[in-house]
Amino acid sequence: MNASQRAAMAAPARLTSPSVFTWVILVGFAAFFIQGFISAEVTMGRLVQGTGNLGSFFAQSFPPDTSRMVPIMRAMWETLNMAIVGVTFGVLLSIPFALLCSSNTSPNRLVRGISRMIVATLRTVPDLVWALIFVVAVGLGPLAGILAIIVDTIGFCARFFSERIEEIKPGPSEALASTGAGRLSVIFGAILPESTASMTATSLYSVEKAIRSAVVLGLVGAGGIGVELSTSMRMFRFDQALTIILVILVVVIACEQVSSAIRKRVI
Amino acid sequence: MSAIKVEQLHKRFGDVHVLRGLSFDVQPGEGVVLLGANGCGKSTMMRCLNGLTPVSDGKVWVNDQCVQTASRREVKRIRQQVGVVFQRFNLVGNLSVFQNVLYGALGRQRWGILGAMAPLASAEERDKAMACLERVRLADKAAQRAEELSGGQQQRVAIARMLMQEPEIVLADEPIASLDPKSGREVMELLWDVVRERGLTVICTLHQLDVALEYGERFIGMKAGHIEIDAPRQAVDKALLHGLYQGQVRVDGQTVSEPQETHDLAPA
Repeated sequence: MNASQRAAMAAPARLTSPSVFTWVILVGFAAFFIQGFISAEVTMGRLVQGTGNLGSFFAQSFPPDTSRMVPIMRAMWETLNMAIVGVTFGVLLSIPFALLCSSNTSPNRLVRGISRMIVATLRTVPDLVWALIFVVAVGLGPLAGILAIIVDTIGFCARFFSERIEEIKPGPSEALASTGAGRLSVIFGAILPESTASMTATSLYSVEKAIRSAVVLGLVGAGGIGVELSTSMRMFRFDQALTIILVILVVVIACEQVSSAIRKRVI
Repeated sequence: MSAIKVEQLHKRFGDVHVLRGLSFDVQPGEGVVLLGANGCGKSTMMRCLNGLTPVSDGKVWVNDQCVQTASRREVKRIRQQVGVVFQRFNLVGNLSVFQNVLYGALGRQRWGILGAMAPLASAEERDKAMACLERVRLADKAAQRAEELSGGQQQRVAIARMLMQEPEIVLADEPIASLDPKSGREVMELLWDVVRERGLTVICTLHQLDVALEYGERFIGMKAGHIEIDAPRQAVDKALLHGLYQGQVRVDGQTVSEPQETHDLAPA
């Protein structure tokens, strides 16, 4: 193309019409949004009434009732126990799952496909649903919560571990294989050491995640502080409920601070 | 008996015919330098020799054992006899230098990794690893993390790992290509010294013609997936080797590359 030809070409139009695909998405989204907004029945009256109710909730909850501090703290302790025990087992079990899911460590495609499907299922079903299922299986109490956290952690960690494993450079593994090492030796000698830092960071993040979910798991009876909270709410003891909420706030924030401090040192 | 024997070796990656019928024979104790432009198939050929890359056609024998027909267990045993030094060192960066050298012993451990972990390895193997580190003059760095070392030092650790393996054959795939000229020279000298003092067979790919002419006893030159030159030291000169970098050199038909400038590598 010579200079005069290039000059003769017009600049692109200022505005171009969106593609058909974009139109379909936009119209579909708008329709769904409007229908959803209508079905929520948002009216001025309800908003006013809601604000009033919220006001009376806070009025009744002040001052927070600290008379049940001991059982609340005990329940909070149980929540932390559930989170730590669940996450520990979850992380340990995530490692073999991650190895089976990763294209560079899985023995074959069938195993990889199946384990990826299992991990995806564990991740897709929400932890609260797992807790409901385990309450049916092992009854009310922290065990159900621990099991739910284990399952939830595997769904989360196995996926991120396996992404990390697939990312690592093949060089060191090849060097080990070149010495005549077997597959397991290569995994434990090169692949796992190379991904330790990132796995530790992911595990610490999943501790934070587990503490948050351990708090709500009690709402369906799977042990921990959630049990206390749902009891107080149902008995309209909003002053006790507020104490519980404040305790949760302080403990969760403290745990997150500790965990992210450790995470910063690891990376 | 030949240390390595290659017969009509072909390798295709999809449509790209990378290795187009290579045949050669390396005697025990020979020091072969393999030359060729980027993309001519050198690295692929090296990887075929110890079975890291499966071949499409043809056969490779290591110490008279065929790599293609060997069982998985036999391949491991073949690999034990073949030490590899890589361009990118390929150390496990966040483990100690000592641990990386110990990994050289992985192949001969009955319990695999358990026998080659620093805390569990036998006193014998630990002493041997330290001796290998001493040979590359890095014994004082044993406790450091491998990734904290300079490139030249990392390659020396890789050489120590290769020594730890006690191989009979050494494949060095552009061992000094990622190093600066000075440390590249040091590494090359060290590599050749340890190989000579143990009488090992070596195939080494290089990009610097000066270095190649200094160390090689026999030259194999590859061009576009073929062997173009296979001659002893006396029969080659720089002009002949330069020919390897002219014209159609690549296997994928891409543009022509130039040989690396080499005068800056002259001994200081």
